[in-house]
Amino acid sequence: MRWKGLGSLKSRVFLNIFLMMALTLVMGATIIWYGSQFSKMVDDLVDEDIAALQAARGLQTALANHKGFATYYFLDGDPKWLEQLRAQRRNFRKCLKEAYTLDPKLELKRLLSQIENHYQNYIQSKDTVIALYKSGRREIGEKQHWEVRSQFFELNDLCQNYEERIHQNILETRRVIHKNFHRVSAIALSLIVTALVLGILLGIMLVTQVLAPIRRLTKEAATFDDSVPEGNEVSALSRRMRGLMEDMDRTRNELQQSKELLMNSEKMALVGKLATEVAHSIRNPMTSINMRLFSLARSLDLNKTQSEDFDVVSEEMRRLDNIVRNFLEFSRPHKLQKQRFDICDVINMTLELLSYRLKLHAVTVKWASNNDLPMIEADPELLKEVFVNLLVNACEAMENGGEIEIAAEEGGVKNLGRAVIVRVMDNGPGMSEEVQARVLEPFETTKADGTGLGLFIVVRIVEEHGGMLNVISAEGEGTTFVITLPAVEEK
Amino acid sequence: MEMKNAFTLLVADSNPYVRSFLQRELAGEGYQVRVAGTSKEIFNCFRSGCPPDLLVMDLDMPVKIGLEVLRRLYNLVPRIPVVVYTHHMEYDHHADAQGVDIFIEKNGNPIPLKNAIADVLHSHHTHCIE
Repeated sequence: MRWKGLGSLKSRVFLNIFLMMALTLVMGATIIWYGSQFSKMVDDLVDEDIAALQAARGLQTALANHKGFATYYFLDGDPKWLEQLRAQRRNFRKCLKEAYTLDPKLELKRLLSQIENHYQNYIQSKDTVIALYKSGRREIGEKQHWEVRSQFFELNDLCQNYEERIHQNILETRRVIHKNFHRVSAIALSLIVTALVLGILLGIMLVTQVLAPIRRLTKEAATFDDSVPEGNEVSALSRRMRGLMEDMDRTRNELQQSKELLMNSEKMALVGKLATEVAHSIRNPMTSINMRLFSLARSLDLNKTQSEDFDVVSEEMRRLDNIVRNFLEFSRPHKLQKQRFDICDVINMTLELLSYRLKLHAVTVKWASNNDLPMIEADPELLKEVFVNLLVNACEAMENGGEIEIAAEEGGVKNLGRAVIVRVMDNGPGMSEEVQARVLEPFETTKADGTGLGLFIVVRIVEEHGGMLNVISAEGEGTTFVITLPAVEEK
Repeated sequence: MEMKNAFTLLVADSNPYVRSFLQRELAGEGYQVRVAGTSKEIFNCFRSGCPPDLLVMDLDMPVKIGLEVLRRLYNLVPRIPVVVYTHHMEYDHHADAQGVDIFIEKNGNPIPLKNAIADVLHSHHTHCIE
């Protein structure tokens, strides 16, 4: 929640990463800058101060090496000592020159020029002593020699002073380097801490804003679908997303289909309504015609041809009336009056009802009640209509009589579960595949005076009860109607 | 015949040919027959000086549907004998049709209607005498 004020997750993550990158850059740049400073200081130290220190030591050594030669010469008068003394003087001058070339600071320069002046005085004094020795005035020479010695020690002190100054310079540089090192350390430490904090923030942000939601989604997905395995949440989620998208596609297709079906059925309902209106309107004038025909039939004295014409008109009117009546009966909305009963009772009742008709068509019925059938829940009147229709159809199909076999059994049917299956088999002429395909459609009939609604009504009644009607037939092999109705589940 | 002459029937049907046919057929039975083509004509007839003894009517009436006509008619003349002569046998048990004596299905044959009228008149007549 506390991230909310900082914009979208994406901008927050990018800001964090940008800050971390900036910190790294700053840290790197700082360390490189201080490193170069450090290296320059070390270079200065090595190039100037160390060299100066060496020069100072060289001066002291060279000065120290001046000692003794005049005394040796005084003792044995050998000029080689003077020669060696000159060499040492050259050496000292060389060291002094080197010290000058190191471009020393003002203070050191002043010290150096002091040393140079003193050295000049010292050399002159010493040369005077040597000249005294050479000229044989030993006593004066010895006396002067002592003075020169004190000059020498003064010079030596100056050189030591010079070295001391340089040594202090080195210490000062070391102090500066230490100070800078501490500053770099402090900066680096603070940057490291900031980077760590930013890293932790980024981690928390990723966990709370990205990983946790993904994990939650995956978990929720897993509760929908057990097949999502544990493991990588992102891949599990993407798998689940793919599944969802497929589901969505399928659902959209189904929705489209059901929409079309709905539109179709709405259209059919409208057509049905119109047809009902038309049937009602037709029925009134037809009744009027029938009344007049009835009236005419009482009084007309017709010859044979006229009588035949009149009969055809009457008969066709009756047929028309039947069609309209059946149609209206079929289209009338009705409520199922469901009861629990044994289907065998309905079959027995139907056979009783049709016994006269069956005899008329010379049809024998083979039927054995099955006492072990489960009960069904249905409208007995409507089921009676189903069997009447099927039996009358069978009778009419078998023009020269025949046999109808009825069998009822219990069975398990896909989508229905436990069901009662009734087969009505005749040994009539059967139907071709073409006829079979259309036989359950409305207004399809093979009979000259059929309305084409009988089997359609049967299908409708069976389907209203949640069951189904199938036709099995082949030309010359009779026809079997299979009625499947759901059985009452026993508790 | 004398008995029957005493009865006046009102035949209500939207179809004039049906009305004239029924008028002819029932007059042949000796009844005084009047006809009505709309619900308005039915009520006019009942409000006239000599209301009919029995109403034969179809439920397919223009202006007002037959059931509403029946409801209003029973408010006007509660004990009027009515024979509904119609295609709409499904309204047999309708609440508005509770007072109807009998439903006869309309077809070309008028004999069931004639029998029903005679029965209804007879039962009402004996009932009245008692």
